[in-house]
Amino acid sequence: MSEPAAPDSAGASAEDLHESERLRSAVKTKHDTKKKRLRKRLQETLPATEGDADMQAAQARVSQRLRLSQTDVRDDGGDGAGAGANADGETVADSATAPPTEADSKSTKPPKQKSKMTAKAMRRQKLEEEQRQAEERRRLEAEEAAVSAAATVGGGGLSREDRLTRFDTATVQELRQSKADRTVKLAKLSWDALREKKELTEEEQVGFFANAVWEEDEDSAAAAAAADSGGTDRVDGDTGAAEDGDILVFETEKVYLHRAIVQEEADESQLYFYPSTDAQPPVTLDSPCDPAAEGLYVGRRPRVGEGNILRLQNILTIKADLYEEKKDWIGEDGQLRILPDPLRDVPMRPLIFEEELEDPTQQPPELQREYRSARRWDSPFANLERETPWQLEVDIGSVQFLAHPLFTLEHSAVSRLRQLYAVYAKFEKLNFPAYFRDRVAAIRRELGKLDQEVARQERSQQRNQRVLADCRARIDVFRSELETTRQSRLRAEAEHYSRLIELIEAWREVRTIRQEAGFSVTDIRCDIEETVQSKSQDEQDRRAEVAEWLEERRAAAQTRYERQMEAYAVERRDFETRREEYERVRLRMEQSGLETADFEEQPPVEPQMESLEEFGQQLDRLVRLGEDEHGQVTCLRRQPGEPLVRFRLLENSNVPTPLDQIPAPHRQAEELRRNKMESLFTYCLRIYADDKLVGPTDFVTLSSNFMLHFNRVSLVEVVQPPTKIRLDLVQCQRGRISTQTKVIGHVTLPKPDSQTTRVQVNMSELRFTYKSDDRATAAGDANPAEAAAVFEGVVRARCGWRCDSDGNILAPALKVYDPQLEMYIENPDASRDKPVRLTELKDPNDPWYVRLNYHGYLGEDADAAAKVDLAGYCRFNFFEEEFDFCGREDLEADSRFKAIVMRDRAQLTTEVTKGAPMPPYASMINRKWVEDPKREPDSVVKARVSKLEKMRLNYERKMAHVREQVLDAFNLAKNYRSYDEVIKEASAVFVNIFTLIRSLFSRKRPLKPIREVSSSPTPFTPVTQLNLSINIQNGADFPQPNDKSVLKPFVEATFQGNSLRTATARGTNPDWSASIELPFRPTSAGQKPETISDELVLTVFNDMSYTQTAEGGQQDLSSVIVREKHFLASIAIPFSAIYINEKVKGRLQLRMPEFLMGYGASASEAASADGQQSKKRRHSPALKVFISLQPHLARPTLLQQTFDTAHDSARQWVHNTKQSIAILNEQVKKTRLELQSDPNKAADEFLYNPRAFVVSMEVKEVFVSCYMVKGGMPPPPELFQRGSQGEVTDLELKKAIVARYVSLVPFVSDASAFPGLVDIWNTCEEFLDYQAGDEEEHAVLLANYLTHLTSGGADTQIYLALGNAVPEGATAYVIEMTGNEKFVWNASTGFRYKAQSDRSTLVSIDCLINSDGVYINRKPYEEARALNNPLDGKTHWLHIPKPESATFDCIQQPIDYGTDAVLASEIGNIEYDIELAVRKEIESLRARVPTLWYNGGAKDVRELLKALETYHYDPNNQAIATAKEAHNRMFGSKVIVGYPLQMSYKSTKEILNDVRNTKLHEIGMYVDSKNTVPKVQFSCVVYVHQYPKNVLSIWINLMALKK
Amino acid sequence: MAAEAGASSFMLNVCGQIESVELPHYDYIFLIYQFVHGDDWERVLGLEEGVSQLSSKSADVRGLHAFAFPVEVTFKSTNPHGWPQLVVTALGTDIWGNQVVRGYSVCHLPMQPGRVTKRVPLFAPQSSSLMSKLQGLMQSEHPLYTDPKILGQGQGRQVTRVRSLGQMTLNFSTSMKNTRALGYQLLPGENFGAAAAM
Repeated sequence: MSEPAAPDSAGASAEDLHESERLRSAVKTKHDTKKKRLRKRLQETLPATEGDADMQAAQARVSQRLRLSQTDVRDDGGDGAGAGANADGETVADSATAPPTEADSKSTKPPKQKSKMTAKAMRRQKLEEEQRQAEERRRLEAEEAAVSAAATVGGGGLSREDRLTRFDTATVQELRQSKADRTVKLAKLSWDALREKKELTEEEQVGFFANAVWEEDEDSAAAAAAADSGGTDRVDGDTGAAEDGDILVFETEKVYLHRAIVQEEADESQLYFYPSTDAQPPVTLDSPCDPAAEGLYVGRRPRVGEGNILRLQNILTIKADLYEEKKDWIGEDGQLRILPDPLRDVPMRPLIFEEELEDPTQQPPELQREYRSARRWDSPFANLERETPWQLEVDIGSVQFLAHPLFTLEHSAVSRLRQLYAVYAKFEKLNFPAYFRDRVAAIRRELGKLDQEVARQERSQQRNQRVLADCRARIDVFRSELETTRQSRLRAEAEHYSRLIELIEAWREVRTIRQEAGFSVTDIRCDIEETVQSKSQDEQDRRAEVAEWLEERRAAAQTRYERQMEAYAVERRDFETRREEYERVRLRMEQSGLETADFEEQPPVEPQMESLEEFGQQLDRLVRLGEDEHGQVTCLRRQPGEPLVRFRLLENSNVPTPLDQIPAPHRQAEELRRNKMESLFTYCLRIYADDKLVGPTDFVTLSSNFMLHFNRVSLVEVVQPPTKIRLDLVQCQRGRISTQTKVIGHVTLPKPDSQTTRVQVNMSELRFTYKSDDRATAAGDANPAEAAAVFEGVVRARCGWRCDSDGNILAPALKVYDPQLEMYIENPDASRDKPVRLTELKDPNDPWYVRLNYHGYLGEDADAAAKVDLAGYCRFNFFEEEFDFCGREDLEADSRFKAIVMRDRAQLTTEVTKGAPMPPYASMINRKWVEDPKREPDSVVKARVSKLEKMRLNYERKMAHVREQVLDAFNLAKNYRSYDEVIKEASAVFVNIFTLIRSLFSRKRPLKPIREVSSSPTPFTPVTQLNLSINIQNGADFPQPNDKSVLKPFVEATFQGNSLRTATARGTNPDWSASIELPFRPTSAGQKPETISDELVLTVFNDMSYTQTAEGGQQDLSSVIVREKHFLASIAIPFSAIYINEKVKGRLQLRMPEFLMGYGASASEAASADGQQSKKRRHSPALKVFISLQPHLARPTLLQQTFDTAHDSARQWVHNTKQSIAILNEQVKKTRLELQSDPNKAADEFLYNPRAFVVSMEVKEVFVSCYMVKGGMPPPPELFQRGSQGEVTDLELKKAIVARYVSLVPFVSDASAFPGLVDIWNTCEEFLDYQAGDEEEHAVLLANYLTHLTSGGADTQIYLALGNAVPEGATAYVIEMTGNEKFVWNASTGFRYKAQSDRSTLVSIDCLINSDGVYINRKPYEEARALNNPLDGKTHWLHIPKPESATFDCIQQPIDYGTDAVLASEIGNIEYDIELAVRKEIESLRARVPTLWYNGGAKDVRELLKALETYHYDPNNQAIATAKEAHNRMFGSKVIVGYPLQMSYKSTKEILNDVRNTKLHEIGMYVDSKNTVPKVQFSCVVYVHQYPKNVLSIWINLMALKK
Repeated sequence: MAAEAGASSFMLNVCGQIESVELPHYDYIFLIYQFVHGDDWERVLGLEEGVSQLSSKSADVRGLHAFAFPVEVTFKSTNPHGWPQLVVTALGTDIWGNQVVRGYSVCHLPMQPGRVTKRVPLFAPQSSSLMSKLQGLMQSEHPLYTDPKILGQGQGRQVTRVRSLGQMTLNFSTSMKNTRALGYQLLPGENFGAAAAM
């Protein structure tokens, strides 16, 4: 079907058109396929409509339409008829003119194409024939149709022919061309095909198009388009069907917009436009769319969104020049010019047949018109078809005259008072002084916070300079704001004060007038409240204010000055360098003999600190006297001592003086005036809405205080909301003849917005003033004075919309255009624009309220200002309080929160909570969890040893603080994990290759025993049944009984109250080889083993069992074995030591009393007899044990914790050192593993933890050498004084004394919180001050003392040694090296061992420390032998010298020994208390049997104890010997058991524990019925020896004596 | 049912499943899941740890391992702090036939009642050096977390380097009890619909 198009376009005879042609044909093919689809659809649809009821309806509609067109024809009159005739003619002419036009078109073709087109021409001729046949058929059909609808064809013809298109620019030639084309094409239409299927009447066709129910999908729309084309064709009378069955549609981009006009007949053929299929212009910018493709020809006007139209209008208006020719797209009505019915080419009204109308005079319903008044299309009040009009309520309250011709003097005074009061009341309500006071306080608070922040920033190490700068800048801003606010406050207060003064003055005036006149005409009264203020308080406040202000100023000045100084320093430096440079140049020039000049530049001026003297004086004057800098009083405030005054004006509280009481001279005038007031004038208010009088009020007369009370609400109905509402006050003067009215004032009410009802609005006070200058009136008036009078007053009124009974506001809702919906909608923002109601939250940071504050202050927004209560809303942190859902106090009081915090800080362990989750409510929290565990007061010593206690408490507090810090650090450190902790990965490859190779080369042995290092430890679980496995191998050096009997020792192990004993062995070096299993279970489910603080006590007793004959019986038959234990020695091992070290293995040094009555005397006596006492120094007994836990528990994981270093300046060095130690550690570990796996070298496993850095009390890491003083520390000289015997001078003895002294300082483990993990190292001063410390403190002090003592010596070196000991585990000892002699000092016990001896409890050394550096042992598995290795070599020790830097200075402070010896007087009391406690304890332990006390010989005992203490270093001292002798004499014969216990003071509880462990109370427990009183007496004597720094040595001599 | 007035804890029941894992590089994997939760949480029902079947990846380009491995657990708690997390470890066998870790992933159990589908990426730690990587390949000692529960905590992750490997699809249906009684509002979040639509 595109074939005919090709020659036609070729007929355009333009070679260059070819391209566009191709384009068009491409577009066309697209349409072709579409059309095929449409046709198919049409064929389906058309038969379907047959016989339907729809069809009837459609036909009815069609007939109606036809009627319309008929009417049109009639209306058009002759022209229309002519046109109709023409149309009729045209149908005929169509067929007639067709062949010539075609011939015409053929002739225009170029000849060269002719030959090509012959085949097509043939076909065309065939088509023509067909067309002619179709013409025939059509004519017949037309005749048939004419019977039913005569006018149809005419109407159709009209519509086709009279259509004037917008195609104005089309030339006649083009038109002709297109017409020819059309004829050709129409011939092809195969309408017949359709008709064959179904005889489709015209009505049916039209009805099909006009179908009301129209499906909007693409296909149906397209079908409609197709049908449309068919219909139009039918009307045109052109039918045709091409062989290929194509149906053509009109394809054009033009839109028909013009109104139809009748054209001249002659021109019409040229002017007509017929859309063609071929001449389709390409899609261009000007015609961006193809309406046919868009489906615009669908028999219905497309809906174009209002927004689009508006946009189009906009475009056409704005770009008028560009779219000149398109201007007339839009009609006068602002709508697109478009035909009302696309089926009609002219606007037509419906066809009405008059005969069908019942009443010809009546307009048919179709033509009936609805009246609508003109209105603006964009009116916001679109909805006017309302039953109830909008209703406004104007509420008129009252009118108060402030000036009136009838005013008396008093009235005007009162009026003035009233006005002043109104201002005053408003001001008072706003309460600006309070507001500014709050603001000052808030700013000061904020400043304080900022200052703290700055200080914190400056202190912190990783401070951010920008943050700091920002803080400082903010401080500056706040300071200046503070100053401004202070000024404002001063001014506000002064203003308030002056207002008050004015008010009082005005009141005084009123009073004076009243007094002078002798009567009053107004009913106003004044109430003045005075609150007496203390003058001194006021003065003080004022002074404080000045001081604060001055202080702030000073701080600001200081900051400024510092900044200037900084700048100055820079400048000065620049200047100096410049000058030096200049001098140097000058020197050079001078040397070379050139002329020089001095340096001329002036040095920069050094800034001076701003003097505050003058400012202070000014400020003082300002605050006190309200004088400004010029000495003028500008802001006078309430002076100190002046009472606080509150002023209240009371209306209607004072009845004006009745007429008869008015004094005679004034009575008449007053009576006249009152009469006038009542009768002369009446007033009313006229209400105007937009200058239209909507209602006057009633007439009212003046009240006695010149008020008009209206109290009326007038209803105003409006169609459009008025722009303003005016109230005119009208005065009617009742004259004798007529009434005169005049308007004496008008006010304008604010226009209410659409959401405000009357009730919501406050009465607004509107002022009016009227000055009569109407001379004419004045002349005519009887009283010119009144005529020229001034009226002034205030109208109280309001205006708002009315609410109907349903609560709907009868106000027009403003409509706005919604671009998305393309329509006008109710204003959604109506509520948003409403002013903020101040009942809500106020925050000055909210821009809204800032504005309100401002307005309120300036009095601009009267409505808002009336409601603003400014006080209490001054905050600077935005919504701070609102975000605090509870206060800090609440948080602190909340025990659940507290418990959670505690748990987070690991203070609340699962041990306490028993593993239960945190309860959800505070009420369910166990109080015990959160309350601080109270330290039970040591009942006995509480009062007496308060000083000691205090020190201990102090220490504990300090330790608690430290612990907290460490905990914090730990919590922080939990976030950091090393790679190894997180990831398990194949270790470095070369080691493994090496082992691989080694295994290749190693000898293959069939049996290669491999030593298991240890069984895999089981993790600790609370349910684990634990056994403390104690293997006691043998003992050594137990004392020999004096009676030469065989010692029968046994060991009793006590843990947590459970005791088990070994069998009894014999001899002083017994061998038990016993294994004891002490079962125990952690006390609570969640307890961690490292927190078990109980001690395992191993006590050695002499088994003194004997057989006692039972009462009266035979010895063999009934005898009782009485087991008596005689205490020999004991040792306590903390459980944690066992747990952390996994085991305790080795020889334990037992603590034995200084002497045991009845034991060991012989040895010493024998020794003394031999005269070799010095050689045979007594050894303390030892016990070889192996203690471990069963099952084997995993060691607690060591936390790799790093703290801040104290050596900030040497961070790199610190880091490197740590690195090298870590490397060393790794190496040692490897070697140790190798050693351990070697069955031949059964190496013991010890913790190896060499440390160069330890944690100080400040929780900082300190290089350990800093704890050692270079020359040592001098011990207190008193230590060596021995009264009558003079001073001890022997160095060895001195050492022993010092060691003893150090060991007496109470041992308090600070490791219990972090067992074995973190040790806090105190300095010696702290150690002695707190009287508490553990191994390292003791060792450090001792090392320092010993260093001092031996500093004079040639080759004695003292080292602090960190290593492992039995049973403590990791500990600190002191090592003394004198030549080849090497001694080990246990600082906590004061014992000294030879390093190599098997007695030495120090089993391995990690590192040696002196003041010069640290030597780290590379071979810790060599145990104490490592000391033999030379320290200077590199193979055995890693030397880390202390760097020569100030940061590594020694941190020890000299110790002041002489401060408090207050305890001296209390020693006796302490002794007494302890003794009492011990006695009570023994008695309570012996509750079954009575306890007898032997009190004699206490003095001797005490003597002995004193001698023992004084000469402890020398057991063979004469004093001891004599005392012992006396003691022996006293008790020797009757003593069963007797020994002195010596200890340092820790607490009474521990003393009693020790006493209990001696089992003294079990002696003489057997009592038979014959002698109810045991034959045993006890003796207890306590001696306390005092050393400097309140170090106490406590001796308790316990004895059991035969009665 | 009205919530108990004096409720002392709230309950969270999650049932769902590990639907599939996209690990296109590896064949033959299985999963182990475990839960990490805070102190105040207590598992009342359900498995603490689950081990899935061994899966071979699908033959198509997706390389999908479908598991349909149910996860059902009920927790009891007094405190939303420490909301339970699901830690999934994907394990597989390498060419030597040893068991190695193929990936980890972790996600919180949903905080809103309702049904949620989650897609969680899988990642595995990387060797710290080339040598150890080679060695890891040879000895099938790929780096792995000492304890997968570390993934449930925010601490110590900065020392590790990981590589993303694939994705895991989980779905959860959550129901809760007593949260409102204890004052917690756990409403379905905005992502609820979107997530469910995924």
